[in-house]
Formats: sequence, structure tokens, C-alpha cells
Amino acid sequence: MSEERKLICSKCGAELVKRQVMFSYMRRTFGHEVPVCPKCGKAYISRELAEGKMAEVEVLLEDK
Amino acid sequence: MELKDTMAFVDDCIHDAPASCECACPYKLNIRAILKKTARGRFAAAYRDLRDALLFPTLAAEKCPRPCMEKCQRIAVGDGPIDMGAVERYLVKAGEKEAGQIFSQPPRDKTVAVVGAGAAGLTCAVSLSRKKYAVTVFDRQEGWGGGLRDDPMFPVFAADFEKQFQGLDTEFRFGTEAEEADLTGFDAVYIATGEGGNDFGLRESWDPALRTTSRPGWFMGGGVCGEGLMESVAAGNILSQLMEAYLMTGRAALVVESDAKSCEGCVLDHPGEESKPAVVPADPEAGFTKDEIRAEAGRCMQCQCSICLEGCEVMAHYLKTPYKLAAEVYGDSNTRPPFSNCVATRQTYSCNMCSWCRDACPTGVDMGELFRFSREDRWKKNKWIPGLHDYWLRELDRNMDEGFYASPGRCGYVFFPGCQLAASAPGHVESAWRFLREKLDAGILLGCCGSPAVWAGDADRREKNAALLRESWERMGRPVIVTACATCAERLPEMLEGAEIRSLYEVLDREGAPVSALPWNGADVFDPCSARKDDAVHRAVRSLAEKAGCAAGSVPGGKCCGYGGHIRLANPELYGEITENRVSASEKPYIVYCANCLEVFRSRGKDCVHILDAVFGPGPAHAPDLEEKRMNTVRLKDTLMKELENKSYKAPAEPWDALALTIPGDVRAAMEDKLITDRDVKETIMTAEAEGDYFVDGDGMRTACLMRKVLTYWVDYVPEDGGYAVKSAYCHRMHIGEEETQ
Repeated sequence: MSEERKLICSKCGAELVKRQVMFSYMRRTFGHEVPVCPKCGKAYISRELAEGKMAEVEVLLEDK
Repeated sequence: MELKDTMAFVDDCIHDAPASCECACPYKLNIRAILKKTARGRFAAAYRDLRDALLFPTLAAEKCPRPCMEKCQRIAVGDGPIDMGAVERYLVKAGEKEAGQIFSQPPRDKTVAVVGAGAAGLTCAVSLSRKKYAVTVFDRQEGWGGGLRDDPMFPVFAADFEKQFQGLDTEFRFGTEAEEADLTGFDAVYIATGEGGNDFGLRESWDPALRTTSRPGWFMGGGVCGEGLMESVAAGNILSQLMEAYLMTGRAALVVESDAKSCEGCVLDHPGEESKPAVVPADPEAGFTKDEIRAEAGRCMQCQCSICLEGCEVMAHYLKTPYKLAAEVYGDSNTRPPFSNCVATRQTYSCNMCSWCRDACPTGVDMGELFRFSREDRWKKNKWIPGLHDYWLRELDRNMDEGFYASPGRCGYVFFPGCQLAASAPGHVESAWRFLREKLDAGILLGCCGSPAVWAGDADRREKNAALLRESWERMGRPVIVTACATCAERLPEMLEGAEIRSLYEVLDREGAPVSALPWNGADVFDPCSARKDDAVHRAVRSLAEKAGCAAGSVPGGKCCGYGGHIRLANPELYGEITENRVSASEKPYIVYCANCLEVFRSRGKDCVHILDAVFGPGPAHAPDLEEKRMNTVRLKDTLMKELENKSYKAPAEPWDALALTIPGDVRAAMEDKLITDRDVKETIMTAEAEGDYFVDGDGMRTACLMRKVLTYWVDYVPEDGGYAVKSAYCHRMHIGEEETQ
């Protein structure tokens, strides 16, 4: 499954769009663009992102 | 936390200590460096090292009794010591063309008088002259040398004196018996008048450590104080530092303490070191040739203890010395983000805490204890990483709740199988308990020893766990604990004061438990790290294996299987390397007696059985998954309660327990790898379905998300008849949103 998968938010019926979302970890906050429901704002994290870039950033922040 | 708190863990480390030869050397010469350079043929560089430390290298080359050779560790390997005398003499010859040492710095305005131009006086004089103090040397004789003037080698020594003083502005007043009046104008005075020489009435007040006398600025040393020749030269060297400190600050003190560690130095066992006999010159008259002296110096083993750095995968991966790590652990405790950050976090959470280093270290330094200290400190300061230990802490909580059971009544013995054996081989636990009940009238206590809390640094959980165990153990009448898990055997005495611990395997062997054949007639026993030094349990397990018709060897190493310290999520690559090294340590199949070792080795496809398979019949053929482990524990508790209390037990149910899932093998493997349980998946799906809150794609695949306090779970799934087909499950530690809930 790629990040390009077309997703609909079942609650709002809206197609997800890419938007800046805030993330926080180990007392640090930062933004990243991920697919988001334009109505309710719920973000989608793909497996590729979770186990790839996100995992890398987790380790970087944990090591600080 | 203070620096001394962390340094206390590594105080005894000898990695940076001088070698035994260097400790014995009166000059604390860096013998290893000199021999290394000599062996490489870098004679001029080696000579300069010698000259800078000895000041008059010829004198030492000829006169030093060489206590270093007595302490050469080549002797322990069965060879003769390295002939340091020959090396020094060769270097002195090779360095003939090297000039004396000159420092490029402006003259100083302080004046120093040295009374006596013998070895002690000249050493002090040359050293202070190089530092550009105005030094005047007095001697009643018509030249330098003092007591050495009668030595047959004196012309050689005199030539060296000449060479070393070349280019210095030292003033010599030979033929001058220095009177007190001659000395009053100097800022500092060194009395080195030799044996029986004039002590100016100060001998009684002499301080041998600081070389001071009752008269401010007047120092004394050498033969006049009863010191021998080499001692005098070494003293002159130290004295110049003391005098310089006095001239600069008005107080005599060493700026850098000499290697204060009582100096046995670094003494190693050198296992496997090949013998290299002493090199004998082909022509004794001509002495060592260039190649011969290089070969002789090349016999130096460069004794430096790096046992932990070479032997432990974690230490080898990061290559930080124990001292450096202790300093970093202190630093990490006192960071001020964003101005300073931690530097040893990953290593701290990558340590198996198996104490292999402690047992391999000549002085017993335990890096695991340092990391345990650090993990507790990070936890207390909320600088820990909950996501790395979340699964195991939740498992611990379950094992002390739905998995916890203490048999009713008092007993003289209690069986404490350990949570992992109960989870992975409940049949063995039940059989072992029946055996112990028959032989020893033993009760049973199911639960966790608290190691997951210790490894996470979670002091509250550890104490809560200990209190629960203590309460049951006390109620049972403080029985002798028979345990199947070496980690529990190590941990329980920390929390149950006065508890007597026995190994199940020793009891089984001693009581003659019947055994049946193992699948092989030859295998290697993998002793768990926590039983590394327990010879009695080693013997018992091998005895059981032999009785089962299996010749039992040993997997060498005594290291952790990889499970210890719960490093798997903190450092998956290193965990992979460690577990691979363990399964390939021997080609034979393994016999283990630790449920964790069994789980780790089976997960890597190693042929492996638990020794209890020989006693109670084969255990489960495959490693149970996370959900099976949980249910095994619950069912075992139910069985025991039915038998002992005529009650049944059901684990507290959650609404999502009844959800039917189809999980393909590859998805299951990925879930196991990330420690995602069926219950995590079920809760994620049910919560999303209940609220209609999920994402869906054109193929009808849904994606649900569950944000827990520590981890966020995601599940891709498709509804199917009466349940859900799971396509993928993953999680992350990062929090979505600005506020972190941890």
C-alpha cells in the first residue's frame, strides 16, 4: 500500500488531501505533510511512512 | 546525580591504566608506545619519547635495574620478558644525532639554584632550564657528575649531559661550595648535594612527598635524602614540576597527580596468545641488529585491557570506553535541551544487562549496572522512552493480574516457574509443580519477577511488583523458592529478603526425575546468562541431558541470547546481530533451560529444545504467538485454581475479545515482530467500526487508527463474513498532534 492510495474518511465522506500536520515526540513538536480529511482533520499515516521516515525520526529524537 | 555517582561504576576499570611494566617503571615511561615505535622501526620517535621522559636517556639505559622486566606479561605466556635494557641502549645509539629537547618560549624572570651537579641536581636543572627559568648549578667539584664521576661509563654519561644541556642557558659554577649566603637571592633552591652532602640543617624537616623543607622555596632530594641513583633521577623530574608550581603559585603541588591507582597496572590473562621467545642477537658482541631489535620490541603484547570492548557486541558496536560511558551517563542526566542533548541513549537501551562484562572483566566492572542506573535515572526524570518497553510492561502488569496466582495455605517450598515458561510451556509448569508437590509438598506462585520493570528503569512498577510477591511469599510462610528461570533466581533475592532460592533443574536431577530420550544423541547446552556462574545448575542440566541419552557439550561464551534488557525495539539491528551470533556459536542443536533463550533461538530457526522436554515430554513444537502466550498463562491459572480451590478462573473480558479475525501468516509475523497483539488489532477495529471512524479506499479496504497513551496503532482490514480479514497492522511511537500525551 502506498501513500498514494485514494482514501475517503468514512465519517465525513470526504477524500483525503495532503496537508501540514503537527506531530510531537520526546518534548519536540514539528510539522509534516500527510493525507488528512479536509473536514474533520483526521490524519492518515501509511505503513511506509510509519515504518520508514517516521521510525527514523523517532530514533533521532529519542537519541537527543 | 553527580559525576562521582556514575564514575563509581567504572572506578576499577583498567582500560586506561598503565601496563604492569609501566607501573613498575620509576619514570612511569610509556613503555608500550616506545616498543610499538621501535617494532615499527621508528627509532628516532622512540628515542624522543625516551629522552623526554628520562631527560638523560644514556644514564637510564645503563643504570636502571629495570623493574619493568620483572612485570613483563610475556612471562605469564611462558616467554622471557622483553629486554627493555637492550631496546633503550639501541635507541640511545640510534638517537645519537637527535638534539636535546628545546621548548620555544620566552625566558622567565624567576631564578633557581641547584646545589649539586650529580644525577638528581642535573635532572632538575635540565628540566627547569628547558622551561626557561634562570638556573644556576653549584658544585664543589670541578665538573658535573657527582658520584657518577667514578663510574667507568662516566665519559658516556658526561657526553649525554653535554648534549642535553646544549642550547640551554644554564649557568654552572663548578668548584664552588655553595654557602647559604650564595643562595639567598634565588626564588627557589634545590639541595641535591648527594649522599652525606650538606643539608643546610633542613634534613629533619624534609617532606618526601612534596620534597619541601621548613624553609620556604627550599627543596631537597637525591642522595642527601637517602635516595638511590634511579630514584634520584626520577625525583629530579617530579621535583622540577613541584618547583615550577611553587614558582608560579607560591605553593608546591603536582598539577597532574601521578597514576595514583596503586598501580598493579593492567594485568591480563592473555588467553590464546602465541609464544614468542626472546630474541637473541646473532652476534652477541655486536649486539642487536636493526631487525633483531624490531623483533624483540615486537614481542610486546601492548597489554591494554579491552575485554569488554572486544567481547560484547554492544560495547564493540559503540566503541566507547567504560570511563567515557560513565561520563556520558552523567552528562545525559544533566542535559538542558535544546542547549545540550543526550549522547548515550541508544547504547543505554541496547545493553542486555547480562553482566557478561562483569564476569569477563579482570576487576569486575559491570556496565549493565551503569546502564541500569541510567535507565532508572531517565525514568525518574521522565527522559525515558516508554515506547521501547511498553509491550513488556503491559505484559508484566497482566502477569501480575490475570496471570498471577498464589496457592492457598502455607508451604515449605513454592514453585515459581517464571512468567515466560508459564506462557510458552504451561504443560511443563503443571508437570513440574506436580513433581515438586509429590516430592516436597510444594505450593505454586505464578507471576513475574519484575525484570521488565528493572530493564525499563521503572522503579514504581518494580516496587509494586515486589510488594505483591512479598505479600504472597510471606503469607505462604516464607517458603524455599524453586524456580525454573535463572533470571528470576537472580532477581527474587533483591525483593524477598532472606529468600532461599533453588533451581528446578537441580531438584529434578537430585530427586531422580525420570527422563525420556531427546531428539538427538549429541547437543550443546546454552547456559542462560543469568546462570553463567552457577556451576551446580550447569551440572544438573547436563546430567539430565546425559540421562536422556544426549551427550551434552557447551555453547561457548556465556553471553545473553539477546532477550535480556529488552533491547529488541531499541536496537533491532544489534538485536539481530546478537541473536545471529548466538545461534551460530555452535553448529550442534541446543538444549536450553530458559524460556527466553528458547523463544529467541526458535525465532531464528535454530534446532532447540528445553531440557524440561526430556523430563516431561516434548513441549509445544512451535513458539506460541503473543496471544497464545497470554491465554496459556490464563488457562494454567484456571487449571491450578480448579484443582486447589475448586474455582475456575476467567480473564477479565473486553468487548472486542469476541471479534473474529483472519490473520495471514506474513501479517502475523510482522505483528509478532512489532509486538502487536491480536487484542491491539481487535480494539483498533472495534473502536473504529463502532464510531464509523475509519478511512476506506476504492477497493473497500479500511484503515483504522487507535491512539493509546504510548503507541498509535493502525490496522488495514476488510470486513468478511462475521469478522475481519487483517491485511496489515503497524504502530508508531510518535504522537499525532501538538500535545504529547506521554
